[in-house]
Amino acid sequence: MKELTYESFKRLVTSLKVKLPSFDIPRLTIGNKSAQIAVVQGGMGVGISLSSLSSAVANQGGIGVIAANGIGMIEPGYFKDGRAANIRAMRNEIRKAKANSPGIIGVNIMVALEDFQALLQTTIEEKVDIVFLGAGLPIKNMPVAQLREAGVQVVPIVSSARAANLIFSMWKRMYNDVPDAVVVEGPKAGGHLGVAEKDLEDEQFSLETVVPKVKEALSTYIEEFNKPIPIIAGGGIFTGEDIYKIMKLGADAVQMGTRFAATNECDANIQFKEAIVACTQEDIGIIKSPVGLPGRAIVNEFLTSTTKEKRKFSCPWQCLAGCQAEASNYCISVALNNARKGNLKSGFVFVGSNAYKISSITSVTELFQELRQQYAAAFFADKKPLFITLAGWINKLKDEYRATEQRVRELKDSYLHALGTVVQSNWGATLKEELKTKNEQLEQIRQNIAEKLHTLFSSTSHKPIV
Amino acid sequence: MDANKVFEKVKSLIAEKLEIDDSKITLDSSFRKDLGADSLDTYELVYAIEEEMGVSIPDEKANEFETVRDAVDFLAKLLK
Repeated sequence: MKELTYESFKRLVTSLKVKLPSFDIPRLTIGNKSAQIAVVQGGMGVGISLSSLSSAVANQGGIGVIAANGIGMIEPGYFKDGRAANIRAMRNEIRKAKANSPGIIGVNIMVALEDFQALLQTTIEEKVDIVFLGAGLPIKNMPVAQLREAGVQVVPIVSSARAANLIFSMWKRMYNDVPDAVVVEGPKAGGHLGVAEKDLEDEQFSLETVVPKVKEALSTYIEEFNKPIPIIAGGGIFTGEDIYKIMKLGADAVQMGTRFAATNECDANIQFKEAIVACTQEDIGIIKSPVGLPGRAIVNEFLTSTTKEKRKFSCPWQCLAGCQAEASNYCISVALNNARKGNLKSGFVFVGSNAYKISSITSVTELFQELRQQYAAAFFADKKPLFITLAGWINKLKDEYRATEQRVRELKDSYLHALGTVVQSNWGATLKEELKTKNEQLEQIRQNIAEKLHTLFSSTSHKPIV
Repeated sequence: MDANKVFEKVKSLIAEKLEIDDSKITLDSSFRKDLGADSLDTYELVYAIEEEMGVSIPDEKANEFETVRDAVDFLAKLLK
């Protein structure tokens, strides 16, 4: 027997005039915001994901995210007044992104930022769809009432079920409310990591282990607050097959950063993107960031030199609470801003663990197409035994269908013939009756197939887009 | 509340949250090195202390607590 493929299965079904649903990446709904494709573009700081990238992603049905940290560095006057430049730049970028896309736009704000509260206020004023809050615990002093009134959905970023539990239990106690979704970032992510360096390879901290645990931790809050709390899994997600696999483990959506960094629409300089295309697996390593966290990056000469000697720099302002500029060998904000502008002699590129697999710069549109096709293929491959059973069943029905169709044709001919020859006879009426029954049978068969397909889909969480 | 009372209170909270024997907790114990607390443990502990003792500790301050003494001194001053 010839191997069953998605295409041959599709031909089989459509030959019976039954529409075959496509196996697409599902929707993602966070509070009252709903994106067509459950792919969130991870916020990439110091000017990598701004209005251009985020609006392109939102236009493809995903969730586009502007990163707030160091955003003011794209403005003149940052070194004079960093706070003011940050607010100004963020407002501009949010407005530009919204003007370029009717889709869902979020902002990622690190809790550890010195001006976290001021930036959060700006997102409320600009009524962004969603705020993603990581690098610290978004628990204390959260303007929950204001966020709710402005319709801003709140999504913390965590790396463990413990952190998720702590955030949700404290929110419940302090605000009698809970966040609207959670990003779970695993140890394969790029940039600053929420998993300690010694634990990066430990299976216990892997995305595949943590996602089901977070799901379990959230179940009580889902019930108590009577609302869905989707889980967005990130860190090392590269293909549509990766998306399918992590969703099977309980994720409702994915967050992807590095792949979007290597797109035409990414807001960084072309040399930044080319560095990602050029990097090999060996180039990607873990650094100790001046902010005290491990981070994954392309380890270039600049980074190597900073482990040995102090680079000359002047701290523009204390942008991170807890950053000890004097004790650091370089300023990470300045270095990342240099990289954004393409100056990799005085900067470096944060990337996820799979960045070496990227072989060219693509467009956001093409990337979405690729991911959706891979997802469909992975869905089909995973459900193949079911599809084979279904195909056998359909083939049997098809024989029945053909026989019925043949009988209908014969009956029609006989009926027409009878009309011509017999003036008054019950025979004509009998034929007419049988014709009607056979036509009904045909319709019944079609409905059976459609129902079988429907049952197949409702047995999975992956709703088809018909 | 005097420093001794604060220490007793904090000690019992640490023992409970970190699930360790309270005889191992001294004023000079380092949260990280001696008691094995990670950053999430520290937050949990601070939230428990706030609740139990009716005080408010800023997150930045909590990050600066290196030893049990740091926390006790801060609280004793606050509760004077």
